[in-house]
Amino acid sequence: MSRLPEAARPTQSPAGNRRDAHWLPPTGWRQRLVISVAYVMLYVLLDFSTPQTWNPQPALAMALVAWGGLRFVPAVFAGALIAHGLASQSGVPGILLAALIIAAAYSAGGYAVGRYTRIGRPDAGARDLTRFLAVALVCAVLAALADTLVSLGERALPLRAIALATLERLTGNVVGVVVVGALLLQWAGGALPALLEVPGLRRRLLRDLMLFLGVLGATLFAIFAIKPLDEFRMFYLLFLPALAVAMRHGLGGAALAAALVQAGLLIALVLSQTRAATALEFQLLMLALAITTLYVGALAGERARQAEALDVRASELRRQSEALAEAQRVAATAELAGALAHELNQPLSAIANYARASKLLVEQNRERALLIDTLARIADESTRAGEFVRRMRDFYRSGQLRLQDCAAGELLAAAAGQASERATRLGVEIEVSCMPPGLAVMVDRVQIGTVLANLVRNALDALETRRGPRQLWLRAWAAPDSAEVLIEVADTGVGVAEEVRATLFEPMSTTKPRGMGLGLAMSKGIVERHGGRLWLESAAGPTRLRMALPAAAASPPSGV
Amino acid sequence: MNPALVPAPAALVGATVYVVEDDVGVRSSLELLLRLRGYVCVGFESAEALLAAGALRRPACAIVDVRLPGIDGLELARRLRAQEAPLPVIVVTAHGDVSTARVALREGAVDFLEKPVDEVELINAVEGALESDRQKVTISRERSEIRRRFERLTPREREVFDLITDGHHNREVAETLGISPRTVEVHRARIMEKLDAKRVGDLFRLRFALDAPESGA
Repeated sequence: MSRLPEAARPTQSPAGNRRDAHWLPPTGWRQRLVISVAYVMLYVLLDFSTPQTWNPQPALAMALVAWGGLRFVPAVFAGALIAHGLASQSGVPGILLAALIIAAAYSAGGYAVGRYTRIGRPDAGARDLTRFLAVALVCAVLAALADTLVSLGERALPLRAIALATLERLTGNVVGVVVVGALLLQWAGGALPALLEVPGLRRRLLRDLMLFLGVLGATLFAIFAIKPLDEFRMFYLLFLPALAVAMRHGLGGAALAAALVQAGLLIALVLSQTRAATALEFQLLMLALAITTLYVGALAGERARQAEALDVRASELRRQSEALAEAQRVAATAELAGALAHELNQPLSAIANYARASKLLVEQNRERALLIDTLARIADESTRAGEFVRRMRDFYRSGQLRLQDCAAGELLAAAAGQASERATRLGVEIEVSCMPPGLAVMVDRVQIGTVLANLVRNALDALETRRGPRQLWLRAWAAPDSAEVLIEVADTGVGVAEEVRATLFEPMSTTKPRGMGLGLAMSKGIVERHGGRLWLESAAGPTRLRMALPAAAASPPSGV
Repeated sequence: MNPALVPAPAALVGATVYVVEDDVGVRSSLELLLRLRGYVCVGFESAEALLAAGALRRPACAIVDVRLPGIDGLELARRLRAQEAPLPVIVVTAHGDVSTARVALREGAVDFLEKPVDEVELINAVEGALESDRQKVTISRERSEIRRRFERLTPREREVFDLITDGHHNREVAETLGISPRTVEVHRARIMEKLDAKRVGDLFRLRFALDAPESGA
């Protein structure tokens, strides 16, 4: 009893729980305090440990505000204040001013990103990315200028050095915000966790990630370790694995790939003891790579979503048109049934009334002449009903048969072609065979076509609910005496139930919820008018309906 | 014998049933059956024929087939309903479906039967329709009789009648009309005589019968 829900849990409930419990901003002050303190510690740690050319801490600030809202602005301010207080030798007013500017810039930026873009949500697109990048650039510039302002107060430096330092900070900020910010927001917004929660997708993502890490490592080794090659000229190689991941996994994958390239690049820079100026150039390349990768990811995601939406729409349209066709068929059947009921009910009404009147006439001892007349009218009305029935039968049998030589293979192929769309959708494989290929029958092409279409439709109806192999065979072959051609429609359905078999070809016998049960009765009638026969070949097991039709005179006897 | 099929009550024997049915077999068989059951039965082959027949004998009811050439059964029910003291209509159909039944009842049909009609149901429906028509006809007759008597009143007498049946005393009536109380008494005596009223209370009853809304209209 309890086993099933437990088995189902790993795929369903943790997904919901994780996003609910961890990826929504906290509402209690206690949780907020813990997060704020953790944030400040991480911010200060990052500020100390990372090189000037890579500042991930602004991204941390923006992501925090974008995710948790303006409640976290004090934490952002505290982080900036402590980091600057510890690092700089300038006076209290300078530190305060710089911390204020930085906190204001990142808070405003984070708020704008959270409020006006869908970055981080699964439906984020290129427009959102553009807005995010614009905000990131403005924030990075403001923060870099604030830092420069503070450092001006510390000691006098040549203008060139100041400009270079500002550029370094600016680049570090922008790269940090773009690379780390995108990743953090993807994670916090639930887009990346969502990728990981779909089991098939997670396996694909992890496999791609392993592959990507391998290629990344090899590429970095090639760039930095193989000395005769120019490092900068080889950088473009890093684009290829990053773009591949972006194409396959959208914005979430792109953010992850860019972050991994950045991490790999930083490790490589440290290991190869690259000079600061060269590192700056690398970070600019990194920025270009990150932005390109993110855009490709965003566009790939948009395209995938559009394709999915189109797919849904197409299947919806197909479903509607099928429902319409079905409704029309039902309506036509109902119309026919209504007309039949009316035409037969009239004489039946009259007969019933006359019979009751006769009874009254006898009971009331009226004159015999009236009774005799009434009984005669009953007979007349019965004749009228009989005539109507005969007229109906003649109507449906009327059209003269237009017999002509038809290639049996063509008849079968036409029937299979008509049903191919539905068969494809149901996953039914139709196999047509005709031995020998030139086999011909003397039939009315339209009428036998109707019979075949009917049999194929029945077979597809039977296969629709079938689990397991869905196969349909249309076969034609010459009867041993060559005067007849045998045609068989067989399927891998469950076959015809014992109790239905006896009345299978009688009108009004149907196992389908909607239907008059006329199809097989009509088919049998048509085949018999051709001088042929239609019967159920299979005694048990999968259904095989077989018919014998007169062979065409010109039909080459088998073996000649 | 089925208790539902005892011969029609004496009061209703001689009541008329109109059968509107284009199928000659159904129509004549129904006519025969209803005649044997004691009704006067008149058949019409179309709605137009019934509408053209002019004044119909009452009390009566009509058994109408839904499918008719020209004006169909539902339209006929709608037209009859628009007339004064409408003829009760029983709608019959050879292929009964819920929507037709609903439309028929909305158009004022008193009953809806499916062909072939069960005899018990048919007689019950006819009896019910005739009973309702008999009441309708009685009310309608009384009303027209009262109207006929009222037409004999002079305009002044009409005014006096209205004021008295509004609940005013002779003196108030006299003041309102600017005549003497004595004259009012003379008017009142005349009114009572013309309307064939024995007491003042009868005047109120007549006023009530006149003001009551026309049933079925």
